[in-house]
Formats: sequence, structure tokens, C-alpha cells
Amino acid sequence: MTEDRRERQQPEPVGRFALWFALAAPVVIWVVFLNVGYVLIGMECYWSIFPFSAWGLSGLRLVLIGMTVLSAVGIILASIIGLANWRAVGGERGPQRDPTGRYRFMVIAGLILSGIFFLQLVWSSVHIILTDLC
Amino acid sequence: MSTSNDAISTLERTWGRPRTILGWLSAVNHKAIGLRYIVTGLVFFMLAGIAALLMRIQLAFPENTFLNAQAYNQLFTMHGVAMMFLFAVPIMEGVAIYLLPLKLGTRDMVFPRLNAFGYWVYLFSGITLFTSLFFGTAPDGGWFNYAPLSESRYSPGLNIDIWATAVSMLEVAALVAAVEIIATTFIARAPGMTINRIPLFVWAIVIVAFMIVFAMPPLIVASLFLEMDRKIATHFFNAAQGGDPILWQHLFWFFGHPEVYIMFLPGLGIVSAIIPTFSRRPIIGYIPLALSFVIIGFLSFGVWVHHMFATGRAPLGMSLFSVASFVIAIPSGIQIFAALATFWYGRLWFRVPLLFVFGFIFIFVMGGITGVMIASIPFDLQVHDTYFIVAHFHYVIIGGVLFPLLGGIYYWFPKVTGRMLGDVIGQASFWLTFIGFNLTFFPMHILGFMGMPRRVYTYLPGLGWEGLNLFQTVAAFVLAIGLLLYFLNLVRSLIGGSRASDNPWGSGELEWLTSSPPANYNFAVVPTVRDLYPLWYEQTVLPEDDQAMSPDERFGLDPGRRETIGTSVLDAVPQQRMIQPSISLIPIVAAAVLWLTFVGLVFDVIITLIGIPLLAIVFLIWNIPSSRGWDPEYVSGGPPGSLPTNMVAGSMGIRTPAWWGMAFLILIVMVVFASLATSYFYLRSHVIDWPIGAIDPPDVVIPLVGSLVLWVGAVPVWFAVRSARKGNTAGLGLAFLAALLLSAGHIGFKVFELAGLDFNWATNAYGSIFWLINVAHFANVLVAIAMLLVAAYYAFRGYFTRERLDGANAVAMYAYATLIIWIPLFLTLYLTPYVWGSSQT
Repeated sequence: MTEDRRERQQPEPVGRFALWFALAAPVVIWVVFLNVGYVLIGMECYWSIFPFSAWGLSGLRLVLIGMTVLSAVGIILASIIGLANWRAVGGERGPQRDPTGRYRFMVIAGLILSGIFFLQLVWSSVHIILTDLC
Repeated sequence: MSTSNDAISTLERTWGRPRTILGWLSAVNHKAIGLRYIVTGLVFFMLAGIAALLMRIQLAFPENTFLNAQAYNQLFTMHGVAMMFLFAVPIMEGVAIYLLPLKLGTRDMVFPRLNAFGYWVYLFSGITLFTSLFFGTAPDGGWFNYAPLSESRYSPGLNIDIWATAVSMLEVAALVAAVEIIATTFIARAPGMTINRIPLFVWAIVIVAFMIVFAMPPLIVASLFLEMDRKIATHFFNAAQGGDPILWQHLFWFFGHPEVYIMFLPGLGIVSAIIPTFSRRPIIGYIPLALSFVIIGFLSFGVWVHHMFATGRAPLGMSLFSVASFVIAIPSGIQIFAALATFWYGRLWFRVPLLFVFGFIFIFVMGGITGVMIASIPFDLQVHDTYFIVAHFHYVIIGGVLFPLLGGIYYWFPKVTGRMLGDVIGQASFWLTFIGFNLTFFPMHILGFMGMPRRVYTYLPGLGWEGLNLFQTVAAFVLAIGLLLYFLNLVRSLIGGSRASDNPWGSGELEWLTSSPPANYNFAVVPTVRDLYPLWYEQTVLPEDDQAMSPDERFGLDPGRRETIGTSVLDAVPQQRMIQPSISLIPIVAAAVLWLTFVGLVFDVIITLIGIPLLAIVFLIWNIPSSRGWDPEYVSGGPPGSLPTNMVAGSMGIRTPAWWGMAFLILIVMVVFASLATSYFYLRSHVIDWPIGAIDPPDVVIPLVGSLVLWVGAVPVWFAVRSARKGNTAGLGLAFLAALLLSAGHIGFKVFELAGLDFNWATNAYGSIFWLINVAHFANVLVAIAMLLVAAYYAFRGYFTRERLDGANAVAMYAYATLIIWIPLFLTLYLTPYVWGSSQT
């Protein structure tokens, strides 16, 4: 218990918003990107809802590229905040009984999530440019 | 720091149950329930395995007449349904229910009666499914039950109805277990078990529980659509009336693909518990491993369309899901590489559980590689519906579920029974199972390439499939003998196995701190945790404490009451004493009535109409406070400095079990309504005119007035909570009654509106979805009304006090949720037809 009390008395090394944003944003962005993208593609093929084109790219591709860029910016922002968080808790070293180990764990989690969902986004963008629409 | 013999015998009395049949039926202890899940799951596994052997006999020779087509269809459906719904998921939940409190350092799950209820629901639905085989009414549309084949035009018997109702009941059981697992992990961890000290097995199980919460409701909705199409002529899957059979596939696979991960993530968790023990070192990569569970959990919801590559979706849309299907190999790979690294740096101790882990790695990697192959759309189109797919998913599921499970049973058997499993017979069973499995299923890859389709009950000679099929049938019996040996080992060791010590493998996790088998109360003293492997790295798991007091003593746990410590979600700081309910027959009675209600849908809706009020009565009885619950001393008392009980902790801003239970009930209800709303938009997006045919867009005025009446109900609910906090119980009761009246007013408006419509659920798909969403919300409001009525009654009786607000708060949460859920539904039903109606097209 003494240790638990110590944990509670420690000032939070990372702001709560920054911690949770870096953790949750990559996932939320990817979920929105995938589902909105899928719905828009289906509707374009059924209804032609984007009847425009530019630079030789169809309207849907432009919209999807825009979504990809916005999503990438969001995930990069989450990564930058995650890195700042990491610096704030990075001086910590194991073992597990580290008093702020929980923060470190959550920060690393956010960075890994950013990495994997950014990779997902990059890979999807290749398809958005190259794959047939309908 | 010692626990006296008196205290231990008091704990034994408090947490025990009578050794009678009634005592057995009323058991709620997590170990009893977990063990029942495991044993029942193994029985269903054997039955499903027998079904598989019968199919293999049929396929051993071309044009074999051992089974006819109808029997074969029922067998392959029952095999799939039983393996998926009756074995893989429930048995992993059983393992989790047994182990979770032991691994977390607590005395029971937080909702023990709910836990028992889930088990009985599972058992009854499993019995229903298998009994139907003897009447020739077993499900025969495949475990996926695709529409329109499953519609009454093509499947007129009871077979599909039994599938839909039994599977829906199984989903209820799974959801119950999921809520139980999440709540227990969130608030019942031993003091000091911060989230970065949670065992990997628990991480895996919690992620699975969250996946169940989001994946299962869409299947319940799909089953509801199907039953309505079959019984009351709705048109959800009838393309001629604006429905779409592909909607079934979307809803089914939104559940079905996460289901695969729901099955094998616990297997990865088991492996993560076995590897450190037999490598004699902590697992390498704890954080990436825990994160890989999380990532797999999220990604699994982004891959469902890869089951639908052959349904003619837009190529770009499919490719987004193809990418997710490739990427999911990364977190899965992390699991394997972490295991290999731990082996590399560890000192391996070759015992049977480790053999099963090696078997898992070999088989699961094979299944993973073919998984990456079929994530590629062109390749998938080539092998779709061939035996290649059968081979792939058996490698994934037997690799990811069965081998870890068999290893896990071997590993924890000494803890559960107090006896060791036989080593020689264990090794023999492993090798026979491993070799038999690979010889059975590897040739299926080749058969798939040779073009043999799955789900055929026979084939013509001369296609080149005969030799491999016969070989597989023989190999299947080798596999069966291996498994039979395993079960014989269990029985033999249970009767005459050598005695096991408390920690025979020298493991580092908390469950090995208990006796073998564990006492009813698990831990005589609730431990304090300061490390991931507390038994390895701590001299003692008891507190470093100047006063030499155990947590039980310090926080005021009374050994004469079923109490355990409730802790905070992230840091596991002790916050409350959770009073656990005692043994009861209510769970089995409630499950029986639920079964009756569901089964009525198959045979006669009158049974269901009788079952619904019965169910309400049973749940009412379930929630009657015990006589001790009225005693202020009982709910607020305790030695000086003790933690507040969960019954009064809510008034101090602490989230109690009731809060978490209600929060997850609301979340599940929200997922159900989200599935309904998504289905509405899906159907809308596939027709030109909306509403379909000659139906006008809905009138907005009356529904809006009715909705305002409902939403105004937020005011008395807010007032009720405020009154309760001030100790004004009469105000609380009156405010709840006011909210109830407003909800009833909303119902009145709704009845008036629906009665005046010139179309109904059978008119077309628009009518079907419009009526269903309205009626579902109607039912939701009725549930809220029932809760408000009961809460008002107890408020007037003086049950709620300034401190004891838990129940009132929970009811207020549900009432708020009912109001909030209706906002997007109202916009969907009444405004979107004007914004995105036929004039837009």
C-alpha cells in the first residue's frame, strides 16, 4: 500500500489529454478512414456521387487522397505528442516496480499504435492511387 | 501478518456452498462455473469431433452412401456451430472465468450470479442445438447460415429457426461473460497491479471481452432480421422488396471475423503464461505483446469484408480490407517472435505444456501464412470455397485454440485438481495429435488447389481426389486417437494421479500462490502486487508494512461476509469493499425462463409471450435487496479506517460494480441500435426510391412531439439524482415517477403514430426496418419504465439513502441512455428521408 500511496502522490508526468490523445487518436482515425472510405467507394460505384475530376484523377480518388492526407496528419500529430510524452517519461528505467511505469506503458502503447496505423494508411494510399474503383 | 485458523474456517464457511444437489445448482463461485464451462465445452468438442469423423468417413470414397446429403448438411453445420459457438468461445471463457480472479488476486468475479446465469444459458442452448439432431431439425445451412438460402422459401423447416434462436442465446451468454470479465479486470485487481503489471493472459481475455461486446450484437440483430423474415414476412434479405441478402453477410462477418480472433487470442494468452514458466525467465516483449492483443482487437473489426471478396464489392473498397488483412500479420508475428526470443534467452524445460506450445507455433504460423495468401484478392478468388480454405482455418483455429488449450489444461490441471497429469501418456497424446492433425489437414491445401469444393457430401471418381481423401480420413482417426488419449489421461490422473504441490512448475504468477486446488475464497489474504511475476521477484506478495497488517485487515474485510477489495482501474489503488452475493437458484431459473422465451420463437410465439413477463418477474426477484441490504450498519459499517462498501462507494464518486455493469449493458444496447441504424442506411443506399414504392416520407410532427416528451424526461431524471444526493428519497421517488410518466407518454405517442401508418413491416424492406427500429426502441423504453417503477418503489420504501445511491444511479444511467439513443434514431428515421430521399436520386 505504501507504494500505491506513493504513486498517487507523484505529480502526473504527462497531461491526461496528451496521454489519451496519443493513445486513442491513431485507432479512431483509422476506424473512421476505413469505414467512411468503404462507404464512399460503395456509394460512388452505385450512385456516382462525385461527378468531377482533376489532374486526371476521378472525384472519389481525390476525396480519398484528401482523407488519407488528413488521416496521416492526425496520426503524425498523435506521434509527435506521443514522442513528447515519451521524453517526459523516457528517463524511467525498468524494472516493473518503477513508480510511473504505468505512464511509460501507455506512452509506448500510443507510439506503437501510431506506427502500425500509419503503415496501414500508407499501404491503403497505394491502393487508392492504383486499384480500379468499381 | 498471519491469518488465524479461525479466520480461515470462517472464510471457508462464508465462501463455501452446501454439498447437495440444490447447492450444486445454486453455485456461483467462479471456479465452479469456470470448471463447468470447461467440462461442458469439452463434451461439445467431442460431439463436434464425432460429427467430423462421420463426415470424413463419408468423404473417404467417391460416391459413398454412408451419409445422405441432408444428414451431411446437418453434420457439417453442427460441427461448425458446435466448434465455434459451443466449444472454442465458451471454453476459453470458462478458462478465463476460472483463472481470472486467481490471476488478479481476488476472491471471485464481480457479478457471481450473472456468471452462473451465463453458464446455464450456454448449457441450455447447447442442449437445444444437439437435441435437434435427433429430430432431424438440426441447423443445416452452414455455421454462417447465409441468406437467402436460410430464408423460409428455401429452408422451410425448423432447422434455421433453431440455429437463429440457439445462437442468439449463446451470444447472450457470451456477452454476460464478457461484461463479467471486463468489470472484474477493471476493478477487482489486487492492490498494486497497475495496468503494466497485468498478466498477458488477462490482457488477452479482456481484449476478447471487448471484442465480444462489439461483435456479438450485430449477429443478434442479423438473427432477428432472419427470424422476422421467416416468421412475419419482413423483407430484410428479400431483394424483390428492397432488401439485400448481402446485408446478412455484412452483419454476419462483422461478427464472424472478430470471432476468429475472439477464439484464438485467449490461446495466445495461455501460451504467454506457459512460455515464461518453461523458459525459466520473464517473457520478452511484455509491452509489444500486450499491445499486439490490442492491435489485433482493433484490426479484427477492419477485415470482415475479406470474407466477401467473391460477392462483387467494389475492388478499391475490398482492397482497403485486404490491406488490413495483411497488416494484422504484424501483431500476430510479434507474438511468435516474442515466444522465440524468450526460448532463445531462456533455459527450456521440456515438459508436455511446452510441447503443445511448440505445436501451436508450428501450426499457427502455417495457418498465418495461408492467411496472408488469402488476404490477396486474386488468390482468394481462386481458392474461394475450396478445401484450401478449410485447411487454412483449421490450421489457424486448431493451432490457435486447441493446442494452446490442451497445453493450458495440462499446465493448470495440478492447480485445479491437486493432481499431476501423466507425463508419458501426455507426450504420446501430443505427438499423435500433432502428427494426426497435420496429416489430416495439410493435404486439404492440395485438394483445394485441385479444385475440390468444400461442403460437398460426395464427389465423382476420376477427379484425382480419392487418394488424398482416403488418406485424410485415416489420419483423422490418428488425430482422434491422440485426443482420446489426452482425455483418458485427464480421467486417469483425476482418479489416481500423483499429488501436486501448490506450485509444481515453479511459475511466477499469482494463481500459483493459492493451494492446489484453490480454496473457495482463493486467497486467505488478498495479496499486494509489485511485479509482473510476483512469485519470482518478491520475497513475499504480502505488503511491506510497518503495522504488519494484511490488506484484509487494513481495509476492513470481514471474513464472515463475502467481501473482496475493489481497486481503481489504472493504478489498482484500493477504493471499496465489494460485497458479493451468495449462492442462489435465481441464475438457473432465469436461464430456464430465457430459454423458454427464445424457444417459443421456434415453436409457438404464445410461449414467448408467456416467457417475457415471466422473465421480467424473475429479474425483479433477482434484484430484490437482501434483508441485510436494508441494514445501514451492514452497508456502511466496518472497523475504523476500513474502505467503504460498494453499496455506498458510489456516493463518494467511486465507480462501483453496479456502475460498470450498467455502463456495459448500455454499451451493448447502443451497439444493437447502431447495427439497426447502419442496416437502415445500407438498405437505403441500395434502392433509388426511399421510402420504397408508394410510401410517403414519414410525418415528423407527431413523432417529434412524442420524442420531446421522452427527452424532457431527462429533467426529472436529473432531479432524481440530485434529490438522492441530498438524501431526499421522496423527491427521488417522485422524480422517477415523473420520468416514468413521460416515458409512458412517449409510448402513447408511438402507438398512436404506428397505428396510423398506411404500411407495415411486411410491406417492403423500408417498412421492415422502420417498424423494427421503432419497436426495438419501444421495447427499450419499456425496460426503462420497468426500472424506473422498481426504483421509485424502493425510493418510497426508504431503501435509497444519501449514501446508498448505487441502484438509483444505475437506473438513472439507463434512463438517460434511452433518451440519448433515440436522438440519432429519430434523425435517421424521420429526417434523413427528406435529406436523402427519392428526390435526391
